[in-house]
Amino acid sequence: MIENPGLRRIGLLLCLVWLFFAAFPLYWVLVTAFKPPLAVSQGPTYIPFVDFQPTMQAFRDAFAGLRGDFIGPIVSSILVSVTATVLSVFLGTMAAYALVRFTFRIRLLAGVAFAVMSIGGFILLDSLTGLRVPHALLIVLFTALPVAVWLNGRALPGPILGNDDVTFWFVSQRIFPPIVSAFAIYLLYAEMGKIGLPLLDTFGGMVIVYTAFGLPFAVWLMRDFLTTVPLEVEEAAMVDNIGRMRIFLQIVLPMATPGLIATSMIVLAFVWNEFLFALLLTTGDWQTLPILLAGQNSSRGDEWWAISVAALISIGPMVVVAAILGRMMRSGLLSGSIK
Amino acid sequence: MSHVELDAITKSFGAVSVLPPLSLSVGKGEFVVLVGPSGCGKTTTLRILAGLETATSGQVRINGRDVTAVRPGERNIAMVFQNYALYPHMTVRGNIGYAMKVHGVSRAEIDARVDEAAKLLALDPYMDRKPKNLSGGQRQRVAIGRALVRQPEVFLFDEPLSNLDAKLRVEMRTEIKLLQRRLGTTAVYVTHDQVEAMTMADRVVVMRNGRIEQAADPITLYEQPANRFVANFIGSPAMNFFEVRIESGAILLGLQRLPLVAADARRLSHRQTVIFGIRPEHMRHSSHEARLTLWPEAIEPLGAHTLLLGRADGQKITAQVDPRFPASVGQPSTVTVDMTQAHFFDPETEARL
Amino acid sequence: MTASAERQDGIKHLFIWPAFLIVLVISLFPLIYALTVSFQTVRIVPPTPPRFVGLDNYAQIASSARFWGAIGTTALITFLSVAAQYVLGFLLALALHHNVPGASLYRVTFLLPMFLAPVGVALIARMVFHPYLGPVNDAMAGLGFAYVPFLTEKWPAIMVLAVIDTWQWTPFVTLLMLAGLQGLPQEVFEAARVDNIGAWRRFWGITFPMLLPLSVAVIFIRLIEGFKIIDTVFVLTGGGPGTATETLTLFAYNEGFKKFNLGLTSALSFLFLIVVIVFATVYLAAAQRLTRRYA
Repeated sequence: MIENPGLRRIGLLLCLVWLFFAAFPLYWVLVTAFKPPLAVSQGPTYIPFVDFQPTMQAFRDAFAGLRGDFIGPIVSSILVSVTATVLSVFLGTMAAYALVRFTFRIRLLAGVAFAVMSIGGFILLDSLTGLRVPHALLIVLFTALPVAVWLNGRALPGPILGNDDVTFWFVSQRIFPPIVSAFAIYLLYAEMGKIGLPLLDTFGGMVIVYTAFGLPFAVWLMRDFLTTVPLEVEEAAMVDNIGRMRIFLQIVLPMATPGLIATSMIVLAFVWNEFLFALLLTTGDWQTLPILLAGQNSSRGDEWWAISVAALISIGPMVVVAAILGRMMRSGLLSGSIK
Repeated sequence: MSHVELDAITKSFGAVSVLPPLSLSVGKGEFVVLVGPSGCGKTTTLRILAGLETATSGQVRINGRDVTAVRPGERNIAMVFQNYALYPHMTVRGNIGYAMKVHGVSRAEIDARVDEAAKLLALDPYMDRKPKNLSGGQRQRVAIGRALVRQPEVFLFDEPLSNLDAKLRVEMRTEIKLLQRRLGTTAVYVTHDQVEAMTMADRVVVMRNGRIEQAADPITLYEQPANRFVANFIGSPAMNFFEVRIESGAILLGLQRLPLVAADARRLSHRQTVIFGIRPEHMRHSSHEARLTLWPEAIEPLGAHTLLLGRADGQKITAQVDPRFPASVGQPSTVTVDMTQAHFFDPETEARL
Repeated sequence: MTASAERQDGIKHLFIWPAFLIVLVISLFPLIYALTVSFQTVRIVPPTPPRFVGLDNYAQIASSARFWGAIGTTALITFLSVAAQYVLGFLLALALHHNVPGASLYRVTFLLPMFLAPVGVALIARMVFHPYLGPVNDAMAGLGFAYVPFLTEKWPAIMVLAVIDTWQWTPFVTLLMLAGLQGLPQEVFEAARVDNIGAWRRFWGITFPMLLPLSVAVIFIRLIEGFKIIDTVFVLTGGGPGTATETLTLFAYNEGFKKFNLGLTSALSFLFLIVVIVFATVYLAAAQRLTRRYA
């Protein structure tokens, strides 16, 4: 629809330049993985079979475990990210569904009361009693939460928050610098370990953190996808005496499948690539791929072929993710999800 | 005996009142159509009946049972929606049988009932298709099939034909009507299309601003509209209205004098002014006719007859005349008015006189 | 939202509470603990019993040049790269929207960078920008320039970090701006063309103002995310030379996990949070002004 051929040419040129800029590093890592050591250490080489003779040696070395454990981090990355993605997308979709179909009214004062009770209560318990930190937090949680819920039912003065505010509350977790909660979670996990519930460097500990990490994305994206599911279909099911849970599982979820796939891909990518939490919360058993990659740097020096193999293993699944989302983008599916 | 009863129900959203107290009762096996312009409260009424909305006050009874606080699924009703509301990920068979499957009906019985519905609605060839591969009419049949396999006490229809093209709409309305008569199930049907209302209903309920203006069988509605609104709403093209003076047994439309039928003359003798209503199709010869001259501004030949759109005494008028009737734009034409079909309304209350 | 749903909406709690509790317990509750720790001296190595010190930790950080340096570095990298991302991303979105030939060919390549682990991207960048063995310096030599020690000097290193961020996140801007462009009403543009308004005026008069709210949101997201930068710095320079490229998150990590001074680190991360909130507020206020002027 550009009528001006000059502009069209500039657009094409820009796309081609960007294509080169975007693709060159990927090309580089791909060919480097097949380079023999000499093709690296004697200066840059570019084209396989012309500049150098490609070899599979780096891959063989990696999977033979010659250069440290590769398989372990791959397995933990897959287990942790798939489990956390499934959990956060499922729970996030449930929450998003509630936010789309029901009305929530939360009194600001009840929320403030909850915050004051939690923080004040914890400081009191922590300084006056010899309670362990996790115990103190649990006590605070289980007192403050029911009180706040009860208060919310009273006729308190002050503003009332609605569904948009609840959604914002979920999404606002993303504004926090993760180092703030990463440290806090590290401290808490360490304390939990002391009372006999090991969470540091465990599957459960990582899955819980990443589920919480993925939930804001899941709630935000799924809310937009679910608003496009026609209400009438659900009403038809209600008239047919189908229960709410069944409507959600058997009618709403299938209708929102494209949205579920897109959201899962995005959450999966973020969990798969996450570095900071993994850096702080794992030490060995459950180290994920990004930690392995970061370690390559110091332990490998200029062994670029090995580093490239490691990078490719991390990139591989994400190529599939990008391809799926690219296809969805073409069909215009994602245009509905921004506001 | 009334089968479905709405007893003084009201509905307000916040401070906005959508329904003032509204009462309506529907007999067993009756086909009742709620009709009115958009925003008249007909859909809200239907949704309250279905349980998809809660009445602010009042009572809903089905078969004598108070269902005001009962969930939609437990009212023993079935509903057909405007946008069909089919489950897009299920086949036609799946759509029709889904509710039964959830409620633990045996496989054999589901199959039997689904096949019966399919045969009734001529859906047999499409049973394994998904809704997206069906035409609008077929989708609507599936939605109807889904409703009727449940063998409900009451069918509810929410403008089910408004997304279909004109030809299909005519076919489907006959089909629905015949089906309902055959099954003998009570039906409440909402539409904004008065032709649909007239052709399908045993009784038409004309609504405006949440109020029932008139509830009667189609012929009564056409011949004795309760007020100017109903008279205007029912019939196409719409009735002509003139504010006229009454003088010695005739009405005066500007300088034109149209003598009244004796009974009307007696009834209206004590009045000075009335609203005179005459349908375009009643510009014809009869036992008591009057002559009316109008100035056509447009002539619409429709084949079977011709419409003259113009003015008489400066007021708009539509006349339905014979195709061979000589008329041309800008030249005065004189038509015959069948005064036995004249309607009169109070200028203040707009009620029928 | 139907009224009957209100009546039967007990089930809504079943839907929302699991997600709500997880976020509350995992994302927010630990902060309470960290908040109390930030007012104490807590050391793991050597282990010392916690002692209440009031605002000492905060004062100590606020008066350290390293903290302000980290803010400066983080802000610089973020602003440079977000500016580049927005301009490039918007231009690419425009090009793709107007069906530049072969658009479907670019899509996956355009999207891919944002789905890669920043750590992996940094490793690739390390190879590409290697002073002697990397292709960038090879190309520069070919053009007759001197070798640049990209990763061991402050300014080149900051530029490299900004370029990496741009490489990785421009696709995000493109994706959202493209979706925004596709959502604009077509008739307005057709009317403008019928009125013989040139492409340049059409962009500044129609497209840009209509996409301003989306632009504000996209830039906001990128700024917030940009401030979190650690992975690439961690791998590429480790904050060096010295602390010349140390970002806020990296500073906090170094302080906490190398010195195990937990009180100080908690205070640092809360100060970080305050910095982000201040930036976000200022940005949103400015953006609101701008939007209002255009609207």
